[in-house]
Amino acid sequence: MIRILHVADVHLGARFSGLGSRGADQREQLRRTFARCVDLAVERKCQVVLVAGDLFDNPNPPRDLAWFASDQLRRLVQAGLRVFVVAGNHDSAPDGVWTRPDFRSRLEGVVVFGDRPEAVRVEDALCVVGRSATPGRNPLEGWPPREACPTVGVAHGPVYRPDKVEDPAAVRPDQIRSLKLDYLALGDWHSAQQVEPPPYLSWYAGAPEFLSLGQPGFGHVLLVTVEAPGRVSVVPVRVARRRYHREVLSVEGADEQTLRGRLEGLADPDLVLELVVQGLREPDHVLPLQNLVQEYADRFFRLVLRDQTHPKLDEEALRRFEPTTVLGQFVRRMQDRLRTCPPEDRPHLEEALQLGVAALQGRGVVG
Amino acid sequence: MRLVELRLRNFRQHRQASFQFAPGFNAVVGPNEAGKSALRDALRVALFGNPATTSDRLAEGLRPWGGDGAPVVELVFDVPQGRFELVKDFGAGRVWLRGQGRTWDRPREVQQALGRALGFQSEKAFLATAHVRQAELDRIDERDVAVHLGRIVAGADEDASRALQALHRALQELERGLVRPASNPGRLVRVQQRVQELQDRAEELRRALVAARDVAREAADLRRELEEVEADLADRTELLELNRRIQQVRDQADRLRREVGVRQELLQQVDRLQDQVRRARAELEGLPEGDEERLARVRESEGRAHELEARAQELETLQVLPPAPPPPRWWLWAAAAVSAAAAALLVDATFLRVALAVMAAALALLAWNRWHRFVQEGKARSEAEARAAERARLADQLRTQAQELHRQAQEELRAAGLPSAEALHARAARRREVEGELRSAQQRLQDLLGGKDASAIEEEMRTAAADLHAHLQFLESDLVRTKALLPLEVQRLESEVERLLRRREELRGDLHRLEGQLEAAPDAGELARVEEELESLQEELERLRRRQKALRAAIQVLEEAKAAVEVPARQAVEERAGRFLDRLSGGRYTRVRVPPDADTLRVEVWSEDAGRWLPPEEPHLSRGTVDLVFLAARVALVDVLAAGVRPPLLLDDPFVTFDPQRRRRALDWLRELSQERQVFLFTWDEAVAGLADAVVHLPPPGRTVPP
Repeated sequence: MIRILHVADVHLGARFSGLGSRGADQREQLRRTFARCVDLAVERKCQVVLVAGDLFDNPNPPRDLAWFASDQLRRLVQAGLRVFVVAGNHDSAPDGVWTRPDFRSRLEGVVVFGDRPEAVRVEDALCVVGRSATPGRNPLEGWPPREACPTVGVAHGPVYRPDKVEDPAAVRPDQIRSLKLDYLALGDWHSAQQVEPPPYLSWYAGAPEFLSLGQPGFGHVLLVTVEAPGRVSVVPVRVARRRYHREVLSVEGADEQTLRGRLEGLADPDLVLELVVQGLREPDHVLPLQNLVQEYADRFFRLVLRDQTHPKLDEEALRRFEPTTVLGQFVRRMQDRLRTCPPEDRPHLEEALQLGVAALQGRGVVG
Repeated sequence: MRLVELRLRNFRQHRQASFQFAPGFNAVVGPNEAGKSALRDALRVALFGNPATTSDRLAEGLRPWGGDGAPVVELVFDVPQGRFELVKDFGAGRVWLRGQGRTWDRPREVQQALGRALGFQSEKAFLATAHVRQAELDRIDERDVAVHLGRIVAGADEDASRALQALHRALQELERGLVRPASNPGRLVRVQQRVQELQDRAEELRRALVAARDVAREAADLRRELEEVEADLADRTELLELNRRIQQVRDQADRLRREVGVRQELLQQVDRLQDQVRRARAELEGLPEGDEERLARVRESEGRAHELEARAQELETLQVLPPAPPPPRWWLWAAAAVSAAAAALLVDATFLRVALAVMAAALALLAWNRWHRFVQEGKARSEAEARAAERARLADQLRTQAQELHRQAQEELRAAGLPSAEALHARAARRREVEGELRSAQQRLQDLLGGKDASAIEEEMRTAAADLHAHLQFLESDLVRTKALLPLEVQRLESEVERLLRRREELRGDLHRLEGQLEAAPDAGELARVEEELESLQEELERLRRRQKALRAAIQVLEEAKAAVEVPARQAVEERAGRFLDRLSGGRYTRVRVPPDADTLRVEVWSEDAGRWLPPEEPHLSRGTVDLVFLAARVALVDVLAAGVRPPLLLDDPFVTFDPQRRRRALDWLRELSQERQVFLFTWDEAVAGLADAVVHLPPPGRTVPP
């Protein structure tokens, strides 16, 4: 029986979009989470660690980061584990980190697969086949036929899905089956998920830590147990510190009180919360999102409140504004403008409608 | 719209009540807390309340205190199309409108129908205009008249002008410093500046990182080259060291070979010398000692004898007389002198006589000299002959002594057993020679051995020979055979190694410099931080720019809306309010104007007394007059805002500040107004009842109105 830790898409050194000033903290967290993955591999007595690409976010990480990663990988080697790495689409480049002699010299005992498929045996008990990502090339092309001993593969790239992933270089499910591997460790997609069922089991490990808004399903590494050829089990283990939650609220139920209640209920310093308010609101309904963000920001790792509402401008909504009053005239004139404006003017005109209505209603300049 | 009947169930203090209204002037009369406000609220709820959306809490406020039934409001009203009956059940949350043989029960449709009938779709606008509360007139500050009228026209809580001002202020605040520099620029400028700074910084960092990447690449190349150079250097140094060692071994082998040779030579010499010593010693045995002294004595005797003989010889030689000197012929010279003198005497010429005389004198002198010499030589010759005789005697004596010495010498030679002094000399010389040879051989032997004995030298030779053998074996090994270079090649190798050493130092220096540059290069994390902040700020900037555009659009549209509404409002206030005021003030004030340049509905009243336009403010006008102006302007605006439909006017005792005369005129005016619309006056004043077309009497608290 062989225990394998499958980790991918750590993206050390990533730049975070949408985290603002918390980006630096999260970059630091990526390091800690990767160190946690290393600890886990040792704690769970794994014999093999597969890094399925994108350990770094770019092919030229700063030296201290590269040294950090090499120290972690060496920690595995020193603990007696066999480590196999492929470069991903983010960190592979002809003169990138994985080909730099000074970096490679620090990776004694770590197998870094090049851009040609290669098979490495682990003491007759396991054969590991791998290949680093090359832009525009199917990562499973040209793999050698599997050997008699249990064989696992490690590669990085998307898997073809009709209408969703149609990249010509994407891995095709039938290709995975034709390789007849006991397990294929994949990297690229940031959420942990099975790609192919047994007997030719294949999984994406997903990113072990939060990387981006709109990407749930991160936060795992996979513990893969190879009992015998064809008898492989996979257990995702959560390693992320941060959590991400995205919630879409309808504006009808999203008055300030409701929003506050929701924020109070979800408050967590490790949570990245993205709360989206959608729907049609009354023209004089103002969402105090900016104020709420300021008030609650420090109770979350990152709080993002998005206003995706649009003012109701149907007859019923307008009925509340007497056409013979300034307010009524204002709303109707704004409505006319909104109806005829180019789409790019819509956001500021919607805001103008809100501002004018609120000002006339004596609420000052809101938002 | 004309309200005909209002029926209430479980509405505040009205558990069950029904009120009939006249088409014109209706007075609702009752003391305080009799339920006037409840009735007015019931009308408001009937017109605008929606049972479907009214919250439980709100509905609870409509119930009678302590009652458990749900409020139900029913209203019967007439419109030009006919009579309608409205039911709003706040318990069931339902609404029905029946009329013209139809029933509507969807709250939205019902509300739209009511709005059309009333001339006001929104409760707020209705409350701002047709619904005049006592409190409003009570509390209104005369300076607020314009604002209040403005609010009515705005149909909102705020005067359009004030709303515009707020928007302008916000825009100015936002844009401060955008056109002209400001000491405390607005958020837009601050964010713009920060974005610019961050963009510059990001650009700078990006450039620095690209440069650092180039430096890193260069450093990697150098490191690679350094490794190659070091490997090459190690190979070549090893080869060079080997060749140096080969050379050393060769030199040592040569030295050893020489040493062995020298030792062999030495040992041969030692043998030879030892042989010589032996031979010399044997020869010395046959050569007696003392020959030297004997020879010296012989030589001395012989020498002395020869010396004596030589002396005798010399003496004999000296005995020979010198040959007689030639005759001096002195007389010849005398005869010549006489002849010359005679001649001088004979010659008469003076000159010649003198000359001859002189010649004669000279010749005489010469003759004398010759003669003197002849005498001297004779004396010397006789002395010499005497000395010669003496010498001959001495010579004989010496020859005798010499013969004696010869005899002594012959005796010595006989004693030595040798025939001659030469033989003795030869024998003594030979001994001396052999002794010299022995000493020399012994000295050389001593010098050669240098205090050692020959066996030690032999041992040394054997050791050197063994070393030499080892050296030669190394020199004949495969390693040496394959790696040994020719001297020229070694020279080339040496210069190559020197070149590599120089190159290595250069590379190390360059690497050190590049590593220094890399140390000073910025961290990629800093760029990420800057870019992340930049992203946030760009979002903020975008939001602020949208806000800027939104404020501008809001201001523009609000100004348009304000102009569109205020022009008819201004006309209405000037025409109708003037007429109402004339009526209310009994002709004292007849003209009202709204200055067109004013940004709000600022009303001015023409005062005949003052002869000018006055603002409706104390102390220009009395408090009562100010209220009159406000009431007149407000009712005038209702007709403008209701757009031709004449909604019922609900007036909650607005005449509290009026004197009795004005009060009567106001009531008369209401009666007049009630000709063309329904008027509801809520009052405690029983006197009003006489003027009304219909009176609703509300009993004091504690009593209920009979059904």
